Amino acid sequence: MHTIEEIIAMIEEVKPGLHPAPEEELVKSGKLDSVDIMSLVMALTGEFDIEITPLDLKEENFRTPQAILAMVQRLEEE
Amino acid sequence: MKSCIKHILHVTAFLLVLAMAVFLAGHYLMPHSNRYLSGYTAGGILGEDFDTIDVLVMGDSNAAQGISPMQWYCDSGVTGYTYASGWLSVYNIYYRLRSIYEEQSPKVVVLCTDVVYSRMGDETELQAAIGDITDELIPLVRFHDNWKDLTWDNLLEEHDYSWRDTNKGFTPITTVGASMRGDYMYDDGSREPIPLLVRLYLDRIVKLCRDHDSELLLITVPASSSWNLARHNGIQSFADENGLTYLDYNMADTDPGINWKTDTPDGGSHLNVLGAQKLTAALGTYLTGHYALEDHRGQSGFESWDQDAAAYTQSMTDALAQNQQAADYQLSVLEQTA
Amino acid sequence: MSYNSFIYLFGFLVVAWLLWAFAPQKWRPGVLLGASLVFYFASTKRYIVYILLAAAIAWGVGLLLGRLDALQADTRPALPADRRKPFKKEVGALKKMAVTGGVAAMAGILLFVKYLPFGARVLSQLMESLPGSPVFTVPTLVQPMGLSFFTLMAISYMVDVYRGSCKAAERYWQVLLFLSFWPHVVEGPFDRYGSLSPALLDPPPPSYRNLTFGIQRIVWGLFKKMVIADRANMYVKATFDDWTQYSGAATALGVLLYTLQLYAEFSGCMDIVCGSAELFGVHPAENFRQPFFSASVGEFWRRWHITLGAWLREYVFQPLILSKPMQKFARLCRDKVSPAAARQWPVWTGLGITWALIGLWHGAGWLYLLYGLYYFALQWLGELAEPALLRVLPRLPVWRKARPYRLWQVLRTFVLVNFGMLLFRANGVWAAVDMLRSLTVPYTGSLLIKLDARDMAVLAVGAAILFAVDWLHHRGHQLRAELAVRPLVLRWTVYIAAVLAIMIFGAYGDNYDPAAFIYAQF
Repeated sequence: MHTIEEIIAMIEEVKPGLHPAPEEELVKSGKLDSVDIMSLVMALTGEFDIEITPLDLKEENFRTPQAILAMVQRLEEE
Repeated sequence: MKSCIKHILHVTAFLLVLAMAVFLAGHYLMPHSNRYLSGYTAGGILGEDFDTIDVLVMGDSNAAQGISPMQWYCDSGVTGYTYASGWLSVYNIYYRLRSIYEEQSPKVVVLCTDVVYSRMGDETELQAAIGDITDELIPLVRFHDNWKDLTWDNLLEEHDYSWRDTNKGFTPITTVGASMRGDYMYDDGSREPIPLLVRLYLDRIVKLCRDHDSELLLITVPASSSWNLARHNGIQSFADENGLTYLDYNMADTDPGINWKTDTPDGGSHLNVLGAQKLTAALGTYLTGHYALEDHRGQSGFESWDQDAAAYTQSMTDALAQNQQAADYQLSVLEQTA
Repeated sequence: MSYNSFIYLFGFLVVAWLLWAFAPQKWRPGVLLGASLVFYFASTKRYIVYILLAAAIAWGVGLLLGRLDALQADTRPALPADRRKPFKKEVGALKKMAVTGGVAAMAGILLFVKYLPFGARVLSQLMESLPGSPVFTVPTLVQPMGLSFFTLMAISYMVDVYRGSCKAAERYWQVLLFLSFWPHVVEGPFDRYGSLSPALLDPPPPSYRNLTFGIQRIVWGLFKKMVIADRANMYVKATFDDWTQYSGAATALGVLLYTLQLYAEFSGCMDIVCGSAELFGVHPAENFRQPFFSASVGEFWRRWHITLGAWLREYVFQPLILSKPMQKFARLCRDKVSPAAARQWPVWTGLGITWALIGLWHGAGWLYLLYGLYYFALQWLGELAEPALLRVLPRLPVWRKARPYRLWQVLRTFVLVNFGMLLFRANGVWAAVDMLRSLTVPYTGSLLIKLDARDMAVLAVGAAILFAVDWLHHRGHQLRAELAVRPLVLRWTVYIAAVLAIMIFGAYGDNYDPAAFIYAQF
């Protein structure tokens, strides 16, 4: 199982200086733009054995670190 | 349903207020002097006394530079006016004629048919028509740029439309720019049809003249760079259909003797004073020979014309001399380079 | 017909609206389709076949995808458990083939008509260096109106159906209406079938509010186009078409006025088309969100021509990065270089390609490619410099929250965007280089080029009004609604003043050059 800390660590790697709380707004607040999201996606597909499709690139899946974790866990089951 | 009616009334009231505002603004932005109402000196016709013009020439810059009515007055006392401005279209001319009829009752209206086929830029016929007709119907659209001429001084000035042009709408040009075109009225078998909307307005002009008991005469001012036999044929058909006389001064049998090397200032688009003199003389001979035109010289009410005639004769002599000089120079240049 | 012509505003729109309003509900979409086809045919005549063909391909592919989905839903439960996953895979593969074929066909049409001459030019330039190669030119094909817009919208339709974001249209005319809908067929915005079709196919009843608000928005757009943009055009044309005659302040002012012209005209056009659509209860996507308040070029392109950036992001950038080749590249980077590179390099490659496409979408030429890559370079350098910047100025994140810093960012972005505009408008790459060079050469003549002092005053006032309206929108005001509740005298004064301003100060008539809509050529 993956932890929320792993997700937050990845976010920090993508955007140095950003240390979000597990329920912190990422997209609407502008903390992560579309380029950052794609970098994060690359990190996620590289670290975990999951396949992300364009359909998964929804705002609700990346809204908070918690949402990202939930998406990763869901994709791993498939 | 009730709110629907309420809305319609509301919108109608708004549109009425808007229309009032537009016409007020248009009236306010009209030029302060009739001198600037139109290009060249066409606006000067408003300064003439009522019902004094017997021959009204209407056309575009070809007419303004090619027909000098004062010459007719000097020769035979015929009062004429050239109402002509750059790029006037048939649509413009119809509405201008209508407003001129409020003050004048010309016996002869001479329409210069160069306007039928000319168009500024590359608008479509429909766009040109809509633009010109809107210009005529809504003064604000026509004069909208005049806001630039407003200053603190003339902000509340009254309009003064009493300026008169001693040349009666003619603008003498004394430069020479030879046209090397050669024969431009050769027959290539074609006939350029008159665009539909233009045709509609030509018919309206014909009717307007008939309603006001004016004879309508169609002519074409010599223009080697923009006229051809196809266009002649187009106008000729129209003239035949409406029983109108058509004098094309580009044709050999009505040629007033234009020398394209000396009589044009811009390579054949317009005439200069040398050319205008010939054209005016030819047209004047036709007018006095075919229409019952009064000799107004010495009559009461035409004193200003007599005065202007003297000034005109002097200025024309100077202009002709100047033009002849330029013509001689042009010919010598051509000889050298030949 | 042009969006700011009499025929469109007082003929087409009036007749279309009356027909639509008085038609029975189920005929209203038909009226919209008829009006769109009349509008399109009037401007393109026989080249209407392109859009008819595009709609046919899109509809056909959508229908096929829908049928495959239905097939899967029907037969799958009846299958034994071990056959279900392979069956899903098979259907999935068929769906992928269908959508790939459709997208390829659509892209093919666009590439063939718009980019073939450029491609041939490039190819023959490359081949010139080889001995004995033939010199060939490809004739330029006539580009039907809106080609760059409806082909991309057709692609978005097919992909959206494939992804399940929207349901496939049952009928051909529904797809045709979506593509040819006259407010967005000439200059966009890029709409999505899913968001636009409900209003197109099941329109709300005619409402007074839609009618008046729509007209007001059209008037505002006309003001921007005719008073500001067409006037600025006089100066811009002179300084860009005759660029060797000008330098220094004259050229700089030309660039600034071009930015003003392009913004006023393009956003003004969007106002006219969105206002036109609003009359019929349809709300196309917004293309502008006060772009000059942006703090970075990235943000600028999320506020300027929004729908183009969104389209490329969703249908090119994201799928490209998630694609198998890019994932393989990422793995290569992780193995050979570092995990950080695996995260960044594919994204940068994708971004570079996307920016290049943004540039090339505007035109088939080296200049446009350069234009796109200019912004890519800015964004890339900005990201690259970020870690170094943070090391040198560790207090930077705190400073960034301060108001004055944001002002600096806005001004910096403004300057960078203007340089981009110079590139965009220049008469070719060498002209652009020339003009950049000439900026340092002082200009001693008068700055009143083709415009007198009064014209400049109108431009200044117009720009100020534009800025003020943008500022109010930035602060969240809904101007038309707020104006509608004010007293009658104030409302009518504003409306009448706006119409008079357009009629008096509009740059139309004999004293001005005619100015076509800039984005209609793309």
